[in-house]
Amino acid sequence: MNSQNPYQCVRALQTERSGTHKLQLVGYCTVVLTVVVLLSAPLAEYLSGPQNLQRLEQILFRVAALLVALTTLQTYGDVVRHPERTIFGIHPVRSTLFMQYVGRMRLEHSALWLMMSLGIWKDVSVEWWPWIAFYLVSSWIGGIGAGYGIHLGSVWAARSPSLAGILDSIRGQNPREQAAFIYAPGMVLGLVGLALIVGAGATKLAIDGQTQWGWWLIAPASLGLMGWVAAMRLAPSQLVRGSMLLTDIDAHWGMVDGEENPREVYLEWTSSEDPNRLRLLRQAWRMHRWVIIALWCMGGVLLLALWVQEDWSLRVALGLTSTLGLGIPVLLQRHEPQWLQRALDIEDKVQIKALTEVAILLMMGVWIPVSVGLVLFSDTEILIAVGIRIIAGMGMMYWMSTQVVQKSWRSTLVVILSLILWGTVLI
Amino acid sequence: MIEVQNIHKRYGRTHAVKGLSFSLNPSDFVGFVGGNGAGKSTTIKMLTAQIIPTEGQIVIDGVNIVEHPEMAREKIGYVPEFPTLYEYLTGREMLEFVCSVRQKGQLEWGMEIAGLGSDIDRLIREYSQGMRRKIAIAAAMVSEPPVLILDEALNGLDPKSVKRIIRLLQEQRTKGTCIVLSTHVLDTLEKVATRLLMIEDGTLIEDCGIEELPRIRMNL
Repeated sequence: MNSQNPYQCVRALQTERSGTHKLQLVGYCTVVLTVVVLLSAPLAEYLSGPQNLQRLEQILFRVAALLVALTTLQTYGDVVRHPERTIFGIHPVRSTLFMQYVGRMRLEHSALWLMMSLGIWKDVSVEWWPWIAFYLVSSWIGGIGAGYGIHLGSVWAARSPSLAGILDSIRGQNPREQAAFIYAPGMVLGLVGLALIVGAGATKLAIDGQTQWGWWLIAPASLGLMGWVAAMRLAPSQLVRGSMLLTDIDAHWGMVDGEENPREVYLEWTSSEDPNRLRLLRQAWRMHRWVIIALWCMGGVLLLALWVQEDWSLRVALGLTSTLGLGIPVLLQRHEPQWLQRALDIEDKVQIKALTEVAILLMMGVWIPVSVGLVLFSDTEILIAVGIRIIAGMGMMYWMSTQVVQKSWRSTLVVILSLILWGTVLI
Repeated sequence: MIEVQNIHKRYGRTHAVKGLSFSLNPSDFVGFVGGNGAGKSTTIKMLTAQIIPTEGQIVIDGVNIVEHPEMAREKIGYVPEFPTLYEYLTGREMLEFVCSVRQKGQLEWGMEIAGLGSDIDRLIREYSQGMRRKIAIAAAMVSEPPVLILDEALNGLDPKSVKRIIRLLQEQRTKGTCIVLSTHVLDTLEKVATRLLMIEDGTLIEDCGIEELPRIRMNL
């Protein structure tokens, strides 16, 4: 280990021995293939009409922005909120080796997003392909490199006396340092977004025959390279500080939550008679609040789709959201103290029932807005289609809860099968 | 070796640590005691560059923790109260990893500290809590840092292992290592510590030699 990158070496050993990586890879590939199959034909049809190049520019920019948004969140996790920071964080950090390790890991992991964003163009004109691929690869590199640079820069900004006034004015109820972290992904999107706009426009012009504009396609990648260079310079001083600030922020919220918000729990009134369901609801609200908020946001988006009569988007989004919702039982079960369940002799069927009910309650964030939208805006055909999805989603959640309580490897199979189901039968 | 000057830690309206100041020397073996919620763990997290003091300065072996936390961590070996380890590494590989990131330390010596025998080549996920703690202690000590900070590190160890690790800690102390041991077990301190720091409600209420322990025990 001494002669190699120790972080890389540990990752290789952990991946090899945990034994789940092949199954995960199959799961990811299934997601990529399903999305590619679902989106490629409608996209090609959309681009075959009039004003196809304008449409191409718009869609291309949105796909690239989504790619950058995903990698931005992941780069934040890599350099600030690394899941293993409690292990390596009590020792000195060898910053250059660490950055090489996270950079390589991020390229490997996010390659699937890149594949997905490339794959959806498979049915468009072959002559467009090299330009589209060039632009998306450039955006991907831009998102990763700029993400690392700006996130490490945000650690510096969080402690900079000269920025204290600005951060105080935008932090709301958050600690000052957290304001820097909260706005960093927006900075990445804003900065790389400008390059993406330029690049998407240049792609359109290059496809239209004005190939001299093709040079502008490297704009996002150039930003990424500059971001990476900045990250390598900042890493020796800011990696450790980032981890310290985050531990501080977490401790702060631990104390403040304890002081100010000890008992209020989402939907607690639904479960006062059922201790198992109540426990899971409390765990869900206190540990995974962001999931509940994200589901309500998604519900709002779907309601909007219903309002503007975007039937196809609604079906796809609802199918994918319900599939992602299958992660809820996994998330809830991960933090369940199994020894306590055994000691209290709680039967599997009781656990499964509670898990399914809480997962369905949390999914109401999506299903309630959709149901309201159906009543207000829809016709009979879409009502049946959406109804089938919701009922199928509930069934899948019960199946998933059964698998996770019984610790079955088949839980991954549930996700894969449900994706195939959405993809081939229900769309 | 460790200079702590008027450190405070505030979280919102909670004032967890209120102006601690003390100075520790090489070869000090300090017992750091206090009740639950006294501010002990918060202080230890500040001493080990895990969190930043709201006010005040901490200097470890000439390095200011607030200004250069990355350099300060080179000087500190730390065993957290609840150590986390790489589950899919063996004990030996975990120690190799630590030697590699610290660019210092003898693997054989680390394995001797852990005292796990042939279990050193089993995956950590198969270890008991006591075995995990031994690996965490070995990881903190293997590179022989000038400061060792152990947060309830002897909890859950069998008496034989406690005795062996205390002997190893004593050996390190004679070489000039400054050791801070946070514990609830005052009997352990009586045998090994040279000095006692006692914290209550975020304030230092005792800084004395270990010979004062009977008096302190009487007042508890």
